[in-house]
Amino acid sequence: MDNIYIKKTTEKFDAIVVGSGITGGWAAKELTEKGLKTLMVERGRPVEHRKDYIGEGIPPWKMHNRGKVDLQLVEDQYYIQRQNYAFNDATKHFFGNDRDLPYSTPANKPFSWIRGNQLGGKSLLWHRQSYRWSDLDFNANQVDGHGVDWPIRYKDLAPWYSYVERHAGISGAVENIPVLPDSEFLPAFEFNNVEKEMKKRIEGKFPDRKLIMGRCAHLSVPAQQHLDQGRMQCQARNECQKGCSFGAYFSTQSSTLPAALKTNNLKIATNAIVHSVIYDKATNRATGVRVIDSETMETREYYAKVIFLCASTLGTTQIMLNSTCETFPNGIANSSGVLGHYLMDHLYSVGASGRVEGYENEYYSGRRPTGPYMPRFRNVTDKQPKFLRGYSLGGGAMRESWNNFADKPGFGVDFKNAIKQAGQWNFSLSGSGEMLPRYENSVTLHPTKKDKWGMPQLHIDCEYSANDIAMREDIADTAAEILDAIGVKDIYKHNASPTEWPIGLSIHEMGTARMGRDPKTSILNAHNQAHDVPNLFVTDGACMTSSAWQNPSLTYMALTARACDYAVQQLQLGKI
Amino acid sequence: MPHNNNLADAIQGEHPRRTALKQMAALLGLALSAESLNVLAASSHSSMERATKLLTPEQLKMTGEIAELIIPATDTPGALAVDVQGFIDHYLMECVSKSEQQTFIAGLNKINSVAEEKFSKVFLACAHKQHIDLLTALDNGTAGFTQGDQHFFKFFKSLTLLGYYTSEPGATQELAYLAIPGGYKGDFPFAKIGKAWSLN
Repeated sequence: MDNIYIKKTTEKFDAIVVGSGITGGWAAKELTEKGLKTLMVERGRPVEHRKDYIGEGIPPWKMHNRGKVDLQLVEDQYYIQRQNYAFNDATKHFFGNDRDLPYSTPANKPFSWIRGNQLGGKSLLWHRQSYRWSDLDFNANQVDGHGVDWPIRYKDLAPWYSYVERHAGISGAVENIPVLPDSEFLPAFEFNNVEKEMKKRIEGKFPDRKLIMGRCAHLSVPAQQHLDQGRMQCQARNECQKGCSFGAYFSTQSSTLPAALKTNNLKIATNAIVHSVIYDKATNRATGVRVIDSETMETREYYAKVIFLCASTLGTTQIMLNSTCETFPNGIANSSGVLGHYLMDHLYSVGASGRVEGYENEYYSGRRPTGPYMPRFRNVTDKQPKFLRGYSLGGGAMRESWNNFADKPGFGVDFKNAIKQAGQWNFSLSGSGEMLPRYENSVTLHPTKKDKWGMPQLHIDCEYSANDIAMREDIADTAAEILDAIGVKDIYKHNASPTEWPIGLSIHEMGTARMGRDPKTSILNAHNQAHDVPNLFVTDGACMTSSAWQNPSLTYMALTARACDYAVQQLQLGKI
Repeated sequence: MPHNNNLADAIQGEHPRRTALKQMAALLGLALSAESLNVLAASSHSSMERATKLLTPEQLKMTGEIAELIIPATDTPGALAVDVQGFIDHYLMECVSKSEQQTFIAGLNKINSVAEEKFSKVFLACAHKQHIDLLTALDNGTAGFTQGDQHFFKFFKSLTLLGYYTSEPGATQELAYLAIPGGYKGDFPFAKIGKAWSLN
């Protein structure tokens, strides 16, 4: 383990992987397992599985603010990250420091860039929801003309979905839903009894809608290979973002890094900010990366035969935009000019909730890390007049707890007893909607502003289209309509404005280095390989040509494993 | 605590992570170092008078009395016994904006001024029945209290509930505390546990 972490080196690697999150971890695993001497370059600090999960397992009364974060700290260093649901005193150290990671937006177009900044990246923080795409999604751009055609289809990715699912461990149930192909599953988490009743009513009243259990990267019941990896069954604490010493959810630390380390082919450079990719015009190859040491400000280079950019959607694009030279004045592999463009996120924070009468005798035990999910039913066989594409709904039934009682009237013994008896049941449905790809939604390098390491910061310019706005309205109306139809009371509809819920806060930012068939209108080909630079690969969210409506990380994993397989083949054939 | 007692200092200042680690280690069958295992202790609650942070000593006392009226002692401790007032004082200093701090203080002052008008005494000098009367009016935003005051009381309640139900007695005695559930059971009668979960 001693020489895994490196600083300066003269070693030339077979592969460099920039980033250590969801896709960086997978690239490191795949490339090392295929025999490549691989360097994983991470801008943040090391985080060791178990040992560095400093927020895990601490009871609230032992935390100095009972879990809340000092306001001064939040306002100085976490004023964007604080917006995220998972940000609290036990998880804050896994979020990027906003003071050190500045970016700009136009005044009237807020964008919330949620970041990790450590080994493992956002794989420590993600929500673990995992879904496959179908050809409804891969065909979408070609069918309605927004964006360019995906250069792949479901059949190209299906075996790779299976491959990553088996290793990662995905909990869910076989449902045979055409728009949401089944994964290789570990058992699904249970519905509670109120949800079972709601499911019956929904499916009875709306035959085109199914309420399934959300599919997630949790070891509900680990398979032998997971136990062999040292991972354990999910304990249903639902505190994943603190780090999980059971290794029960998929992260770099629990799953891909151990596999990579086993090969003895991996080295890691941490506190190493990639400034740019080094390009050699004579050979038309990326030859390495320039790095700034985040602690000492020293610069150094690392060299390799193939480069994988997995630095997160905007992190990767920032590096590419900053990698300029005579051949690529507008950023490496950007002869098309589309680098930075077609930024997307998912439409979130819109839906409805209400009260379910009765069921005082029903409860549940454990804090389930997933919940009921309604796959897309809009624009599947129907044709909506007001918007293209579609969305899923997700939510579930829960009983109110002590933190819901502040808004209720009363105080004293009766009030205390009411809290003890648990509150009413609530049922909610919230949307995850597809955002159309638009050229104008883009990121560029700020012409003058740089961060403390001298990297030009990003300027992010993104807003909803008419389609996005119309879809949001339908999500809210439809969620409310469903709740009303099944007898939910006191229905509250919500549809957050872009000020209340800035684009980016869904943390599914993707696009800006898209895949496509035509080098004139895309950065990457069907193998995530840069059209312009054959040994440069991009497999994180930046590669996405459209956003679909599903949580994207499983698709990123599959694309990464597939691209690694192709890259290694190409290397062996002497083609790159 | 004697200054040169390293173990005591370690226990006093020890990160509660070690305790949690030991429990988890037992579950995982891992061995922890003797040093780690040694450092287990019940937390030692200081019984010394604490200097107040944002509130004056009188405001602290008033906060405690109101919190106790919201969450009284029953068969389990009430707010005063778990020092909700100390928590609120700390929380107001560290975690809320200047404007929210001012709202809180103004709310306490408003209660006192209504108490003076109705009962010719400040809140702390009133009898229990008068306390109930004042808080009921405040809760409803009536009889001298406005909707704005009612909003302040919701804020006060939220701080009280946070302070109480994340305290050890609140979380583990009054409610059911289950740090490591072992899995999710969806078919689970309320009667099986008989009280609400403290972690959600």
